[in-house]
Amino acid sequence: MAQSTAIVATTLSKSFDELKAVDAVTFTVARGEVFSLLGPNGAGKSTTISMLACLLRPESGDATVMGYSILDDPQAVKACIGVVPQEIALYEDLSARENLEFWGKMYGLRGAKLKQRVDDVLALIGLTDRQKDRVDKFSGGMKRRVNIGVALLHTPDVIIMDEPTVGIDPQSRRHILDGVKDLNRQGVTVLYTTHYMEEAQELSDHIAIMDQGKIIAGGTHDELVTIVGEKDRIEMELSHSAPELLSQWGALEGVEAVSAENGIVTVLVNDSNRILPHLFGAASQHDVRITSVTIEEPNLEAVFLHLTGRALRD
Amino acid sequence: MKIVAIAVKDMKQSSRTALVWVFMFVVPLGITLLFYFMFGNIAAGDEFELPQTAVVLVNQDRGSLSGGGSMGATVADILQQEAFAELIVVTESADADAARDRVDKGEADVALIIPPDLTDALLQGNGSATVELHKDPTLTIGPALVEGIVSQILDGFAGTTIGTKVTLEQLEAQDVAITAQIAQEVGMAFSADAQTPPEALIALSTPDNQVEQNPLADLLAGILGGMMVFFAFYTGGATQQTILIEEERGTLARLFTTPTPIRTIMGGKSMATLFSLIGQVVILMGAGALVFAIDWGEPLPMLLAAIGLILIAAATGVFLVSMLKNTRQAGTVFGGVLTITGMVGLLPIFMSGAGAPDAVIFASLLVPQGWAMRGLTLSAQGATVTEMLPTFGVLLLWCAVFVAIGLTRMRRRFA
Ligand SMILES: Nc1ncnc2c1ncn2[C@@H]1O[C@H](COP(=O)(O)OP(=O)(O)OP(=O)(O)O)[C@@H](O)[C@H]1O
Ligand SMILES: [Mg+2]
Repeated sequence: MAQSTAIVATTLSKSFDELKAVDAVTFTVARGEVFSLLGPNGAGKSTTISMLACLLRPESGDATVMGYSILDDPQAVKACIGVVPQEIALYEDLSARENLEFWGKMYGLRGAKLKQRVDDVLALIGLTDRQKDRVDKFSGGMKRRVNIGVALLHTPDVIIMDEPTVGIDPQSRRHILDGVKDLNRQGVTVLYTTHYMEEAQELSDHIAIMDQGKIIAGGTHDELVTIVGEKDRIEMELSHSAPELLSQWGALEGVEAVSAENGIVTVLVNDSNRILPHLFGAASQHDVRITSVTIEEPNLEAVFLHLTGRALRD
Repeated sequence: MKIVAIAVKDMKQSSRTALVWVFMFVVPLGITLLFYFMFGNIAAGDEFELPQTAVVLVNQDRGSLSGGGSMGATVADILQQEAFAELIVVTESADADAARDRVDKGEADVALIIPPDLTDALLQGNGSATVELHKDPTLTIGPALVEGIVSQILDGFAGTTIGTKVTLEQLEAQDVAITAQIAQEVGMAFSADAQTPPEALIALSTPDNQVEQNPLADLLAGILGGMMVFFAFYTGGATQQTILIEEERGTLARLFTTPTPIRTIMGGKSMATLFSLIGQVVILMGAGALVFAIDWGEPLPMLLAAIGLILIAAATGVFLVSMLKNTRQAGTVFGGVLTITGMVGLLPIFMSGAGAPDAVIFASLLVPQGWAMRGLTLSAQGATVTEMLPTFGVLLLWCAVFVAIGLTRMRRRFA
């Protein structure tokens, strides 16, 4: 097991006063995969990561990173992980290069090796031309890239990224997501937190959905969506309300449920392609026009809604 | 070495902050310079820029004393004493008119003409003789100096022998009053009272010329020393405060995600504090010595005073920062605590002219700044290493207590 796992978290818990920020969190990250912790604000993602990075001591539970216990061998854990904090943590009055050189030294690099890695990382984050500029002169997206670059200097086995794309433009975001995939292709294990379902879906081999300190579901994307059943969700707006039509729809073969709220009718079906013509046919029989239709295949958003009754995004 | 990398990074950051330079160097040197300009001219007039006065001496005294020689010859001897060599150059001449002529042509500053009957007048006690001082009307201090010396000598003769009336006559009558006043001042500077015999006069005036007394440099030593102590404590506080800044900016947490233990981080920061303080003290004391001619004392006592200051300023920084929650508190504490304790500790310096009251000196020794300043003052006053040791010991004691409390609190907080 130790050979194939990068991170094993076992019933990790942490409270702040009354608040149970992380509550018996257990998960396993395999070597070489991208594992996402998906959850809304305040779910406990950063607190979990802080414990794995040996910044916070768990109240109970333990975890190992690359086989080293976060409780017994924090220095060994720190040496094999790179942490990208949620907030930008750089010396803004130093240049990009000075920052990378300093952090490289903190990871124990020096001399020619240090210089080589700093050059490599600058190229990777696309800031070779701007390396001599002070970080406080950079745009938000550029700062984020340096923030990530710092964690890559010592070529760690595991990279832990805490919401690295928050508050930046789509282009920088694309750059970062592609960068994560590149790293992963090179064999780096990535633990990624986000509250964007699309990012988790695009990047991850495995996803754990977190809410109010607990992991409420986990698995691959496809495994997770089966939680809501393999149902498509059809949302429609009608020219006028027609209760008889809704009950006729509900009686159709392949329709699981029909509900109406705020003028929007939601129909859960097994196969939208097959059902849709029947829905339209019934509507014309009742002289009701369908003014808009949206079809959604099951996604993590729906899973979260299904499990918590709340939307993932506030 | 990570510890060095952290120290270098910290100093690089603070060197890019203009305010750091202002408080470390610009303000202390600026204030000292201000005092230099305020008091420099007066002091320089008295102490440095006395021109050599060229005196042409015409000794016409024909009288003779029982032991040989004459009063005129004695005056000539005294004026040519080693003690006056820096102030006056005496050339003798036989011709009174030629002597006056040389002064008028600007070849000499003063012609001193001793009349033939000087000895007789003094011995008899009833005669009167007039010593003539012919001077360049554009000069004041040089002639006044000569006049002062001569009148002291003659008064001395008069007081100890016979009450002969001796007058000094000025060719320019309108200058008499002013010159006499200056003469009196200079006379006082040479410290003989009217009854002092010439030998005593010379004896008294000798040390003034041998030991290079420099009251301006002493004043500036107090000012620059005080400013240095005052602002060194800010340097100690500000460089230690970086750990709070890093905590707030998230870089401290990030440092903890690297395999860098807290003691290395605190060690690096303390190294930055010490290096900054060493730089500040070396530059300020060096500038003091070179620019303001301040004598900080013998090398070893001076080293003890400087090391004492550096250590206590650093230790106070560690202690204060360990008491603070955040940088907002730091602003208040540095602005308040360091300013007040600094003023209490340095008050004796600014009262040194009149002599500070015991209560002020006592109060100053309740704060570390007072002890640091005491070390500098002792060294500048020429204390030996042995005389420095008690003060240095007290400083080390303060350091030990501050560092012990500070490190314990910091380790508990960040570990
Ligand atoms: N140092 C702390 N002191 C007190 N409460 C804290 C602290 N850190 C986190 N919390 C609380 O713990 C809970 C979990 O916070 P955490 O930062 O782990 O959430 P998160 O999932 O990272 O959220 P976000 O997406 O907003 O970053 C929140 O309710 C937060 O207010
Ligand atoms: Mg977070």
